[in-house]
Amino acid sequence: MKKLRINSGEWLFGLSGRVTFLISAILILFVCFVDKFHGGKAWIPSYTQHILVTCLLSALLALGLNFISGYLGQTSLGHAAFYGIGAYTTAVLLTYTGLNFWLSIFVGMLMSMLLAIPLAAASLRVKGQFLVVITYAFCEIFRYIAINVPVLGGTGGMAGLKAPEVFGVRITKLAATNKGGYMILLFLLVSVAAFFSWRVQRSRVGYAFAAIREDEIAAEAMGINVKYYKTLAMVISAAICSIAGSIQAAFATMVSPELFSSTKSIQIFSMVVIGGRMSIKGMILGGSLMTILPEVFHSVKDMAGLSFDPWNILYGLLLVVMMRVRPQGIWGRKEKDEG
Amino acid sequence: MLLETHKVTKAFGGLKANSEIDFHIDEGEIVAIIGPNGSGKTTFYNVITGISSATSGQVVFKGKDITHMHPEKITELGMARTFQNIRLFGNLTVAENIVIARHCRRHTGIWDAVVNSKRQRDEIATNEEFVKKCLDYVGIYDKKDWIAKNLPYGMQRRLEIARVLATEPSLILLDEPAAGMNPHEKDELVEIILRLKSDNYSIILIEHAMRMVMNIAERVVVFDHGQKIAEGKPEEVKNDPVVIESYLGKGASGNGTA
Ligand SMILES: Nc1ncnc2c1ncn2[C@@H]1O[C@H](COP(=O)(O)OP(=O)(O)OP(=O)(O)O)[C@@H](O)[C@H]1O
Ligand SMILES: [Mg+2]
Repeated sequence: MKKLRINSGEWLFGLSGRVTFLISAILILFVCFVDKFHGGKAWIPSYTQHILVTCLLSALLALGLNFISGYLGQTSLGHAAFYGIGAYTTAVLLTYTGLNFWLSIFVGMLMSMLLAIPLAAASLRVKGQFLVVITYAFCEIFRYIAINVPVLGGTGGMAGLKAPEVFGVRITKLAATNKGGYMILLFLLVSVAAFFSWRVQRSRVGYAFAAIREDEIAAEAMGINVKYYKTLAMVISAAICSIAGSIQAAFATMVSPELFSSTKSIQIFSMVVIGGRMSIKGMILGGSLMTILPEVFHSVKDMAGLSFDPWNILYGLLLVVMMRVRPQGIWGRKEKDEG
Repeated sequence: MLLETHKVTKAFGGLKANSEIDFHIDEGEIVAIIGPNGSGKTTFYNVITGISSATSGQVVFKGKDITHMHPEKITELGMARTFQNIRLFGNLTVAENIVIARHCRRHTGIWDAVVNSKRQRDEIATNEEFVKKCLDYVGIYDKKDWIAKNLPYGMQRRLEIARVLATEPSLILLDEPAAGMNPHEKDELVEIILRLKSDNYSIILIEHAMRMVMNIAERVVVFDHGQKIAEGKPEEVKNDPVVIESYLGKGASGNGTA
């Protein structure tokens, strides 16, 4: 299958996946540990590390949504639901049962995967704006549950979650700062999700997704069970976003109904669109870009003493311009003309 | 008997697009369905391939009742079709279109993909074999890396046939495969259809152009207003007054295309 097009240009600068992984791993380890080996002022401030962690979380979310909005080509403005479900499951389990954090990730995934099935069923026969409404409503339901169920802490959410341990060492103590451990953990998770996506997209399952994206009727006629594969994509997507939620809960040591906000859902969707649907590196870079840009403009606002945040305007503008000029996203593959 | 329908009716509201159609095709046979625009030919295909299910009546394929079976299961059983208004996976390559059609004959799942199992590697090898075999069959192997929608029209129609072959069907349904083709392309198409016949595929062919039907079909079934109004050898049908009145009478030359 080497000659088939989907395969090429997936990793940075034409490097192989393995080399990309190694280089990024070295960079991450460097960022995590440099400040341990010299006495002076920290090279990598805690603020920068915080942003890096957020970039990785975003990348994970984008990789998750990519299964729906990339491979299946369907719009979802409700994926914050799975992010929130993962986070709340972890929070509830840590607070009320004292269950191990790592196990709570799996329980969260299971919850998200189960809840993805009715969402997939509801979305089966609809398209376009109806799908947007359904996914949006799905997420809203969970926001109301989070706000109104007392054990979930209401609008204030749940705070004071303990940091997880890795072989008896708190994750916050692993590296030079309390964020290093999360960075390494998330880096590994993003790598696994990227590897997973890459293997799946060129497989029989990935081609089934592609067929459904292109033409559902023809896909059925070619022997593809459209319902099954749409549900499968939703379940995978939910599981990945749920993992991001669980980590976020531990990292922030708290959860709040804001996790389920439509702003979050839209943000995840725009990361996929701007990064470039179906492109794995697009997800990672798109997620990072949509995390870093707001921060940059926020500091512009502070420095210039503006009374408004320029990002709010640019964000909308960026989406509009992208849709007009480069609908396939920055790193998305063009539908090239070989003819 | 490969495929048999008993009193198949398909109603859209008050309109009976198919009305009590009895139809059958034997192994190795080529049967043509002709009839004026809107007479229910495509609807009949949709019903027997499971894309839309019959309002009443029964469809039996290889001895199995498939009236309410899902389309993907019917494809797996060995029936595959082309579409009147070409439905390729347009943004994918020609080769990828074939690979997708292999879906119903393979069983690898996510796990095989992730660990790159032996099954997965076997699949990739046979896929490549089928890409070669099926595209060669219709003579477009040299275009395998093209994006499907960039192919010239006639080749898109041929790719649809190649894609059908990749599902390893025993019954092939062609829906106006010559529509929009120039005479030269039509000749090539006839050649492909005759080759399919000699390779022992069973074929149902919907076609407006009488002339082409007369050349290749062994039996012709005529639809009008959702009903089967005539059936027989091409020459018989051609001279059947009922057919002449309802079909040729309206279509004038009988050369019309959709
Ligand atoms: N999904 C549908 N809903 C409502 N009416 C339909 C539907 N599909 C087909 N019809 C109607 O059923 C009748 C038969 O249509 P069909 O497409 O089967 O005709 P056809 O014989 O294939 O015609 P053509 O030669 O133009 O392809 C037409 O009157 C058409 O308008
Ligand atoms: Mg038709």
